[in-house]
Amino acid sequence: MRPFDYAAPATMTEATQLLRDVAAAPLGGGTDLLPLMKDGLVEPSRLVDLRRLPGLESIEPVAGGLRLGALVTLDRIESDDAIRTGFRLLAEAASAASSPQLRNMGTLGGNLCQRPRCWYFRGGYRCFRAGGDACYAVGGENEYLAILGGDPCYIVHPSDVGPALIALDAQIALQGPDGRRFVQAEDFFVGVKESLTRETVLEPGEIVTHVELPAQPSGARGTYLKAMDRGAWSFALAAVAAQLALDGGIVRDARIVLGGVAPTPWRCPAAEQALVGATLSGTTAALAAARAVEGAQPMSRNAYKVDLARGLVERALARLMPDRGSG
Amino acid sequence: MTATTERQAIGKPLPKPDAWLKATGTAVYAGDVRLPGMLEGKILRSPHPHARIVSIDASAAAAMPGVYAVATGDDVGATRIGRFIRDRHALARERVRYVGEPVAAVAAIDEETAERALQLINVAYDPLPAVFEPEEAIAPDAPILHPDLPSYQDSARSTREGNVRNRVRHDVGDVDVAFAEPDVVVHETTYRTPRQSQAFTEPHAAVAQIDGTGKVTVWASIKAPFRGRVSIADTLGVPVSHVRLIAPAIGGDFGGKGAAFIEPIAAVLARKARRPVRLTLSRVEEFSAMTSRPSAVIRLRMAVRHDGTLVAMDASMVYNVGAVDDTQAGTANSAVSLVGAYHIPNVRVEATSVYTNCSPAGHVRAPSGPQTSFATESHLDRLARMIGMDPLELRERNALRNGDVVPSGHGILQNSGLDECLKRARAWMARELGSKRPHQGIGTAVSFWALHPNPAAVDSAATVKVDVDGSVAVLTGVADQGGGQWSMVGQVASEVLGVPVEQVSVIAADTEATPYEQGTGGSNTTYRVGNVVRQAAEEARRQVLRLAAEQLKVDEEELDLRDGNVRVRSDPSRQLSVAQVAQGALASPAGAIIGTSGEAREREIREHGHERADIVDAPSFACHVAVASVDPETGVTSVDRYYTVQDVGRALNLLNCTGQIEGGVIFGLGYALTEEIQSDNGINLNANLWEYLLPTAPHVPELTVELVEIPSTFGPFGAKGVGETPCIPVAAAVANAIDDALGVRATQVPLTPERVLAAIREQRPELLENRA
Repeated sequence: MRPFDYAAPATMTEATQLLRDVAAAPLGGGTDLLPLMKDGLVEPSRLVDLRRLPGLESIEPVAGGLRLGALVTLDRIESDDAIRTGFRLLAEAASAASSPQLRNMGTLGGNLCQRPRCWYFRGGYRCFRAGGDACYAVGGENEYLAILGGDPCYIVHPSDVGPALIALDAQIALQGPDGRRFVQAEDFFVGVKESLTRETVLEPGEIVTHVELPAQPSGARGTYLKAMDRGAWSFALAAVAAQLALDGGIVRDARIVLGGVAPTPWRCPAAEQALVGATLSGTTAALAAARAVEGAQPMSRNAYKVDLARGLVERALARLMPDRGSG
Repeated sequence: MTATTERQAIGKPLPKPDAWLKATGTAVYAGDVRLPGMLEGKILRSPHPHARIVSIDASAAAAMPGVYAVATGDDVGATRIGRFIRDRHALARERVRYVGEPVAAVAAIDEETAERALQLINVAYDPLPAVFEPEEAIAPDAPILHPDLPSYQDSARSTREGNVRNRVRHDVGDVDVAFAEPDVVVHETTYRTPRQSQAFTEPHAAVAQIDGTGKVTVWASIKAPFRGRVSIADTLGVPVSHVRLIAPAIGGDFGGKGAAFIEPIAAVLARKARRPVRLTLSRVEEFSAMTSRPSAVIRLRMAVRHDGTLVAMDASMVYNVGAVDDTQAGTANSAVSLVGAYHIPNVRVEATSVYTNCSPAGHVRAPSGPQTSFATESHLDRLARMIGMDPLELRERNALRNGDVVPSGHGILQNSGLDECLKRARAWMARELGSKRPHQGIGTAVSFWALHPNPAAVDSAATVKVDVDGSVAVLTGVADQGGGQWSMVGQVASEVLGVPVEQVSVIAADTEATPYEQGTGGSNTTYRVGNVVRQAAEEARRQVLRLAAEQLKVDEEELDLRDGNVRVRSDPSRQLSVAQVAQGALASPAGAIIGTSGEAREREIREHGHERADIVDAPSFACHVAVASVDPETGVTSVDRYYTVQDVGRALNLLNCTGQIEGGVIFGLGYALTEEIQSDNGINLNANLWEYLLPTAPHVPELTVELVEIPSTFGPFGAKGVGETPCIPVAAAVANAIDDALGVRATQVPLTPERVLAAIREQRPELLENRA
């Protein structure tokens, strides 16, 4: 590992100053950054530890919604009463991530900013994502990679929390050297057409400080489902975050977001349109599930993900049917 | 219980003495050894799957401050090393054959300096064409990995040519005639199994020291010290007696620590540096460059009559053994393993191991067992379904019975527990399993660990000393890789000598201080080593009784020895402690009480004639039942309950016995559901613990272990082997449960969601299309 400086600023101003240096990296729980450094995939000359900054570890009610600091751990998201009652989808997503030990350390902001898990990228191949000029997965071992939005780089975004935040229409607060801005969760992630080496809109020196969950409409209910090779401590083969607003059996609003199938969390507008205004039933669920994977272009070894994602969407919708008692 | 049948130690659920040390972090492993002036070693590994080494310039590395030695292939001598076939050097000479092959090594003042020095070594390679699949490797124009293969030393005398490392055929009866019978049902399928890592907790470690006289001492995580020292001696070009190998606590082996890999490198560095050197591997090195269970493709065709009689098996098996296969990991036993626990009159099996430019093959718990069991036990279920017979009944009808010649041809089956295991499994299912939930299935599979020790050919000896305080020391060459071998040794000596187990110490696995021992493994350690320890202890016991009889002035037959005391049976007030007897021995002509195994063993062989090599005295059978639920929408399989009944002959230690079986089942569940080394052009892609998916606590179902105890005739107290049998049939049992749940046959392990979904799409697409 390359030697680095360590700084633990007490104020945001100080932190953004320290992060101006292009070779500086913000440190939260360190569950992704430190392994990346040990593997030589990133070599920051300075780590800026954010854990002394005030206010980044709080969960506060705001206007019917919640405001979460970027350093709130996944473990707290999973167990917080306000999140579990009002934004169950997010608690489920957090609890599906990784292992208890890692959820004790891993943070909300870090989960959104983690780097892709493609084994060619992580294995040190000079691929697109690493600044090179090829995708080794195309003719290689691609069973875990993208079926949607891939070409030319087929990473899948590994976050469980990301799809949940998009389904909840969250806003993400960013702080950079030039000030503060808000982006919709959906706009936070960057597809391969925009950049091959970044996964988020974060500019150099910019960090995630908060996430704001807006009040959900009446009749709102949501769930997060994740399929894994191993039922815990592994990344999604496919996942779905589904948030509906129901009025009796009628769907008034729907947000369906897939995880583990595309370079970003993958929103499914066609599936949402199939639901809004319809009665939630097995038939509409099957239709929406089929729409969710429309346009999928599997590679040589990952066609199973089409069936898998479709099955998860259908199951999530079935779970949200009023007589199923979930919410 | 009467006093005569009550046991001192055997059969009791005694905790392992080393468990306390391990739980408190005070056990000493090889990597914990610290010597004055000790350096840290690091290995430079090949980035190429196949290349000629043109030149190595290590001058810059050698000149770096803090670097004491740089070693290359020039330092390891021309003699190849390996367990059976000698197909490798400790450091590559002239060419590299896999990504990760050791090319050079550095000893430096600390690990960071050694790492930096590696980067200064300049190796010029001339890349050669590489092959990664057996089909490519046996093509006529394929690049040959080992051009001198026919001349390699091979104690197993395997059939080899080109890239074919080994080919074994098993031919019985007339298969073609049997398949042509008018009334038979024939089924053919091709099965595929993955490369599996041993994934032990403790990565390899070795500390090597060479003293001023040239005497080499190595502390290493190696479970066969007497075998390992040969590779070190041959690499250094010294007699084996110049090498002392000591195996302290070992943090798991599962087959991966039976041959020397890093130990000769540590010794070469120590010799060049003239200082002790420690070499430890990282987890990534273990996964990317060390041995794994070879993958297999098994084409299997079988014929069964409508009444359930198996009449023929025809199969070909191809193993990808990577660039190194000195342990003969593929074909050693697999032709006969495929026949399994059954009597099949007509069999034609060909097993071929093929060298490729993948990482080396090696032993992994039950070499060739899980691959062949997956094929045969899956196949039997399908055959049962085709003739409308209960799968367990089909197995019962064709099961090997006492008096049958076992498929290996190694002898006549004796003391079989198979029928009892089948009966107990059936009873458990009837008692415990009610109606199935939707998409839940039940799968059964039988396990037979076909290797068996010849009772006379044990390659082991032991010495038992009785000390003046009545304590006992056992000297044995056996290593304990975590399986509880040392606690077994202590229990056997305790039982025979009538001395509490706490007063028995075990001095073990030191090639200079302890008698020869071939090495732990093959589920035969208790059988072999337990016996020689018993024999040595019996010899010591005879001496104790003789000396006590002299002192007490009674016949030896009058005496009873237990709890550390010798008593006259008719008058227990007349007694001597073992300590008193041992003190008396000092002044006697004997001088001390020391029992050795050799004499007792010779006598037993004369008396019982058990030098016979044509019997299978201690066959290990088990029957497994998996209850699994399969999600037809996601392909996710979860094992809800798991039952296994195994014949262990005699459970010398109940805790250890059930622990081995539980651990074996969990090992098998990993193989069945998640574990697979995946590679691309010879580079192992998931060389870490977050991508190589071992089972974790949430995936271990409710386990039920039942023991059957049908004693072996010649094992210690009737014991049979335990450790390998439980991991063998798990993948088949789970695949059979999936088939029972959905009517879908998955033919490739691990049974991941992607493979189960693919099988559903291919065989029952209506499950995917007609839902909701």
